[in-house]
Amino acid sequence: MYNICFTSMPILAYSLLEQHICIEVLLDNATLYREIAKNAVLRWGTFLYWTVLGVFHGLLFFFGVRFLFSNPALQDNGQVFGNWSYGTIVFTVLVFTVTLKLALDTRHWTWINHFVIWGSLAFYVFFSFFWGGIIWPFLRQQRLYFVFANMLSSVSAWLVIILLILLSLLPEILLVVFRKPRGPHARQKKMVQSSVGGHQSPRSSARPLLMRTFSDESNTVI
Amino acid sequence: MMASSYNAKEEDGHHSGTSSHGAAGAVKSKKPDNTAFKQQRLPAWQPILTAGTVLPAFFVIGLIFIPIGIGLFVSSNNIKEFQIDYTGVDISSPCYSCAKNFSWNSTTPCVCSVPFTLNQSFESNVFMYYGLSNFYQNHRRYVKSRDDSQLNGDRSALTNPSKECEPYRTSDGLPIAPCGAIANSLFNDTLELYHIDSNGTSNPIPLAKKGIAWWTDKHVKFRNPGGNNNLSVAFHGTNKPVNWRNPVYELDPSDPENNGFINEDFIVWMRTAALAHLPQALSHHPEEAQHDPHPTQWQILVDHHLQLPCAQL
Repeated sequence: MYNICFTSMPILAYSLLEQHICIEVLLDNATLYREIAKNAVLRWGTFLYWTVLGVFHGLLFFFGVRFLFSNPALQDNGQVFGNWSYGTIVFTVLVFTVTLKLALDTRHWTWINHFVIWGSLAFYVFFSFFWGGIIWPFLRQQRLYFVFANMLSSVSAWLVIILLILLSLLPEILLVVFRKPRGPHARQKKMVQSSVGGHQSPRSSARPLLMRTFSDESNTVI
Repeated sequence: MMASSYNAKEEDGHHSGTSSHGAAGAVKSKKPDNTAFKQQRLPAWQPILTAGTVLPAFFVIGLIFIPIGIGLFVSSNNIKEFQIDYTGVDISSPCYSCAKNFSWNSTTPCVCSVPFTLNQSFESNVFMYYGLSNFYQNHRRYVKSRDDSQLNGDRSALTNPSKECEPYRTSDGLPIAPCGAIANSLFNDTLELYHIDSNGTSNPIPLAKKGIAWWTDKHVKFRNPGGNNNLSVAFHGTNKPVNWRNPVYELDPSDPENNGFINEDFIVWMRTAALAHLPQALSHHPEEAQHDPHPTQWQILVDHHLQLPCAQL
């Protein structure tokens, strides 16, 4: 369910539509292709980074919610949460973090990207309400009845969800902000040149948000 | 470069077209359509973070959320908690004799009283919880051992409980209602709260036992079979769980809205806790627990019933 319904469409759209460097820049600077020569993007370094990041996320979700549940009377009327609410909080944080991480990585936002990313999140919320909203007639166990809606009625659960999502995306954000661009990055130079020259390629379909840069090594996103 | 590649493709199309011209009409060209999607020319937006956008956004968000954080911190510091341990492991504890000499199938109750002192005033809406430590309600086999359709009042599930309830499914040939290990280990200590005033007389404090379970649990998920009246008739043909003293329709005979499966203490217990230390709601006192700020004496009267046979769990 998770892989098919909640997280498959965003990555599919990302893989089909993503353009880290736009077409015109690539056509003019064919040497940029050297950066991905010999399968450079799938080296051990990148793989280990993603694996460690995944482990960090998992630990953060589980133990973050466990810390919250040191006193499970989290609702405004003093009622107690059970273990299904625990799992629902962890799963909600997980789905949102995974999708928002992909949103952070997307550099080329077309309408399809918007549709699948925000649509997946909306579908998750809608589906959770639907799944926990009725007593399923032919099932023996009704574990998740109303669990999601009840979780959303507690302010502490909201705060913890937002906090855990931000904490887990923090390494990625810090990396983006602090990573120094290595080597001759033609895209960055191209940006500086075009900002100075003010000439926009006629075939460009990407509209950069703000072209003003302060220095060569400004924090433009790689 | 672009022009030459176009030409090559066109020739390809032409070539295959002429070769099969006599056969079945025109062959589709292999050239991809010149649409925005297929030529990767969709209108797009690229985020470029510069200091001019990031820093103001950062400070604005900080200014919005810091007062919220301060407000939450102050309000959470105002919450007062008080915990009493009445396990009775220590010899000097009042409940020692109950803990040592009591077995779970005794008919006479063992009562012990635990005095305590509150040094600060507890404002209104005081909630009372009972807690068990090192009680792993999140063990997988334990969590699965219940039958939700039986608890929903389904007649066929009442007489034929789910296989998940084994070994607490039948007893003496009759099906158990409610079945399963979760229901079997129901917490049945009763606790009463008394206030000892300066004369030394204990005044009982009324505690509201309603409103401790989720509204949807009490009104939708848990239903008595055949309505809330005549429960002993409705549960005819079933047996009480093995470790219970009374059958399920005698959980609260004085209140038909709190009897049978929809008893709130039962519903709260059936909501299995996430961790090993599980506080469950017991009751709540809607008024102020204490009017003056000086230390006052209180007393809890514990009616010890709960003694779990650890070997079976």
